[in-house]
Amino acid sequence: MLDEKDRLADFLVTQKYIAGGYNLAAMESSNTQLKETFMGILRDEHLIQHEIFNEMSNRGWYQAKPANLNDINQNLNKWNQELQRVQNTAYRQPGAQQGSYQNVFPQYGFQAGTGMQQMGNEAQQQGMYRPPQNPMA
Amino acid sequence: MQITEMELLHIGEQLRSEALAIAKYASCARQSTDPKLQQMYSYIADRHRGHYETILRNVQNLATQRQF
Repeated sequence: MLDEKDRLADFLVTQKYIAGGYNLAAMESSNTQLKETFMGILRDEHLIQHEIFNEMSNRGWYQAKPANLNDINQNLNKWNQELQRVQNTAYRQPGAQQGSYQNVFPQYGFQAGTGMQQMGNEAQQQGMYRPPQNPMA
Repeated sequence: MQITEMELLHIGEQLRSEALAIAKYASCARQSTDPKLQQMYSYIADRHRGHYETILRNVQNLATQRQF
């Protein structure tokens, strides 16, 4: 017989499995309506998973270890450098349309060290992803 | 609108998972001795039932559209 902690842990695994199924189902749907349905349910599966996680965390049954601040900063430096490298390589390729992407790019605010300063206040606070304007629209 | 074979396969898989989830959460809602967890399990069971019904309705709609 499972105890309460085991049950919650089992539900975390269940939710992970079901969500994985919906992700694949949405990805492989050609029918728009069906794809939207799968994505909507996928979101609810995530919410359920998070509610279970919070319940475990509040009871001290799931302790996620916080990352070391030095490690975070070291990684941030590395990732910013990597982005610079990729950007430089991408825009120097012969035949690449100089400028067209660059007009769009700053919306991400991805320049090393600038954070998300060019985003709206709300997005800046929440660190939300904002796609650039679609040049084909 | 058509349903592809791949979509039908995923629908079957997800419905099977949802049915199991409904049964599992409902059973734990009955077995649990913690009122807060009982409530949470039973609410989640309802949500999984909602998922099942939503998918079923979708397929029914798509199948009906195809007949005309």
